[in-house]
Amino acid sequence: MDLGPFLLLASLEGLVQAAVLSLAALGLCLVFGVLRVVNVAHGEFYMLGAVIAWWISYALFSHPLSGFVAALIVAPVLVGGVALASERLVLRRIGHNPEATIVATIGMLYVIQQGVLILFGPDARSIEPPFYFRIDFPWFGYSGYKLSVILMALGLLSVLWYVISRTRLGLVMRATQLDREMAQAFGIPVDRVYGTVFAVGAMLAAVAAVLIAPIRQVHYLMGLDPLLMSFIVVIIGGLGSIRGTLFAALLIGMSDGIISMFFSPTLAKMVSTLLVALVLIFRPEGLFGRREP
Amino acid sequence: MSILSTRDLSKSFGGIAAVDGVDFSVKEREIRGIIGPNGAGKTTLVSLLSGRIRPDSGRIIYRGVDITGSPSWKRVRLGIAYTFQITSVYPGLTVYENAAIGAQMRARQESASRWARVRESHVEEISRECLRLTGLESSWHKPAGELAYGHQRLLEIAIGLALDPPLLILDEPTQGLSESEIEEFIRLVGHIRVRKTIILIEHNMPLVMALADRITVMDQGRVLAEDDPARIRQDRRVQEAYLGE
Amino acid sequence: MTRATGRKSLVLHLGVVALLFLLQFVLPEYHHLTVTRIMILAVFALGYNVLFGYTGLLSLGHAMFFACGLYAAGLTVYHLGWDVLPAFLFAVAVAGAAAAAVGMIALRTTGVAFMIVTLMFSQVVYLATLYFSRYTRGDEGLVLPARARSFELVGIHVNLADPVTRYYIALGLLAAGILVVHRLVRSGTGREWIAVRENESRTRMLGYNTFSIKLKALTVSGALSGAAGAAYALLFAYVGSTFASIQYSIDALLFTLLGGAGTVLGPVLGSFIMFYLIDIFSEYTTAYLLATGVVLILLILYFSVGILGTLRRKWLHWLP
Repeated sequence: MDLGPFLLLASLEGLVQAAVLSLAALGLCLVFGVLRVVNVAHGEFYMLGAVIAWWISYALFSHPLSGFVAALIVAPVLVGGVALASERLVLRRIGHNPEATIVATIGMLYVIQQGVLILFGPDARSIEPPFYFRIDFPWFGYSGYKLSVILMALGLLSVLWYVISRTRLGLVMRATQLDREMAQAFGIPVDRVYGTVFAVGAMLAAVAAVLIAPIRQVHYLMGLDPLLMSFIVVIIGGLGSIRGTLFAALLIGMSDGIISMFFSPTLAKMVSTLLVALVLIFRPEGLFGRREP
Repeated sequence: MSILSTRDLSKSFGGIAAVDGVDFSVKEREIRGIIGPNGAGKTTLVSLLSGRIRPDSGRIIYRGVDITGSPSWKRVRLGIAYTFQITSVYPGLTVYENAAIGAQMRARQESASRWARVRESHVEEISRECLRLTGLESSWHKPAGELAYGHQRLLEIAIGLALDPPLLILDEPTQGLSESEIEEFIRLVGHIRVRKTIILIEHNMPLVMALADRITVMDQGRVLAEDDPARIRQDRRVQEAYLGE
Repeated sequence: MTRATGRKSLVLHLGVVALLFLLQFVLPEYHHLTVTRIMILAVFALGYNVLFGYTGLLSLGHAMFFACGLYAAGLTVYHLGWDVLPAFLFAVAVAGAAAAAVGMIALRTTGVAFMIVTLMFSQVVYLATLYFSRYTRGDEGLVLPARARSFELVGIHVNLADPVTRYYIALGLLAAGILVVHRLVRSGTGREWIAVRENESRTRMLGYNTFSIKLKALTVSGALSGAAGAAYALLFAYVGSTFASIQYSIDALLFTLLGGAGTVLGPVLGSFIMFYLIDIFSEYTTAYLLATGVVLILLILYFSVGILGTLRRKWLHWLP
């Protein structure tokens, strides 16, 4: 293949990656923005979403499309429930202390991951895509499902944008993010907002996983990679900034897709990981964040 | 001769000048009171002097050396100690350990060379002396967090004293203290004033009038007046800006 | 009073070393090897505790220093044909230097940012062990050659394949680690570390350069972790990428939290309990890391000062 078509293919792969990554990273970003805590178990919510999607599509539905639609609804709801419960039982009790929360969510990471290992087993499994069609370019054919992932992610992001900027829930969230005490003084039930946002963050990870599961394989250890990638995106995007996170997801998704195809995936990860550590040190507000006065 | 002086020192936050072109000079062994209404810029000035924040412009000179760019810990080693307005001790450590942390710095500075070992007995000696001066000797083994508020304020001063600094900046030392504790404080200052320069930021007027050799009055980031206590009391501008309120 | 408690605590720590010495005579073969491993991991936890327990800095990337020691020792022996002793000393130096270098930049951050930065740096080291698989053979790892299984020390032939010798070496390293940490934390250096942990801004306003205090703690911590890594490589003749994974960073944190952060013996006790807990657990299920998760959550919810931390709070106030 010539360089041009090859670059097009790499860009398409990068776009798919960016689409899914932006959903997952946005979940992490919301939780950090509102609760001011880093959720290390975020990748496990992602993994849990994929595992539930596999279970639904195999155990309950014979047709891949109906299974996919059901998974798109059920998986986030179940994962949201797990997140809500863990927020109530663990994070609330330690008062969302940032450092204790990291240790606690590391614990949650192991509990979820090993729990899935017991119930689901150590094998990688695949999910059939809900539909098959190929889009034929002059140089190569490309999976229609992958392109639809990009569209679905865009749709979900628009819904999310609407919720955050136009609804009461979004207003309450933004108010809590800006000033917790003030929000409390205005009668906003901050504890409930925290629980909701933590659940919504996990649900976004789960949705991302449901979308990607038919392309990748489902495995109990699949959570670490999206966790680290989401970290990278959220930090570069300027901790807690939604616009920055979306931009960074696009940047990182694309560059990761392209570097992986031209060089090696390990090198791509090394470079972006090192980059992010340096960003955190020399521009703690992120590349696109605003420096607080 | 002046031990500490500033030249045209300015600092603003978000466009509002908290300290605005302050020229300020303190003599050796002087007790200088700084007063002014809330928001006058007293705490910002002290933060600039101690190096907790950097000025936008201007210079700070300590014993002829320009320290404008020095980090706070270096200023302390030069001899400018500082006690916090909001009590900042080590609540998890014993009263003795609190003093010992200050004492260790002094023992280290007094030792012959940078690499000489600091003797623990020397640290202990200094710590005990400071606790004795502040009347905290008997509670040396208690965790500092369990002390009564007034005693924590005293411990705050004891830690500062352990450094034996030529210049001591006390930021509202008597805030929240009872009458008897304030008397104790006056006695303490009387004891240490012979050897030290003290900058005292205070709201308690009678106390400042009684202790200070000179008083600087600040208002809206500027020095409004500077004179001895008796004249300050009679200055009309001061009365308008502050005392008359 | 300080001198008396000083003697009391020294006796206690020497007593623990003596107990570990006697333990080998009653241990069955399997546990003999396990205890050898645990003692090395305990040195790693001791090093971690210098930074976390005494200086109050929570690192999520200490596996990188363990791996630095492991690979510096393993690669010089494997590729350059170095002898065991110089390889060990070199590895400790490399890990200490790596910690100092990481500290120079990572210590510009605090709190959660420091945790994430150390995690990221450690991940880079892990990925590097995979990427340079030409030299490290990645996950599969390297088995050290037979000539690296023994060395001469002042005319004595030391055979590293012999379990009893290995036990003594691990014990010697642990004893040295305990005594070094014990001495450091009771000295002026330890007082500075604790001062930074308890109230960093106050400490700075007492004339201490807190950055260099933290850097010193991180360097000591990294060197001890590296010593553990190097000993692990040389005693068990194997180096592999697993040792650089996040799992090992979490283990150091877990051992220290469980035994009691900020106590000299806490990490040692934590290593023993946790290692055996996981060992027992893994007989019943492959999901033995579940124990790690549950213990972490329970510790953070109900028992944040750990076992020795509780003992110290209630009875043994003199415990360093």
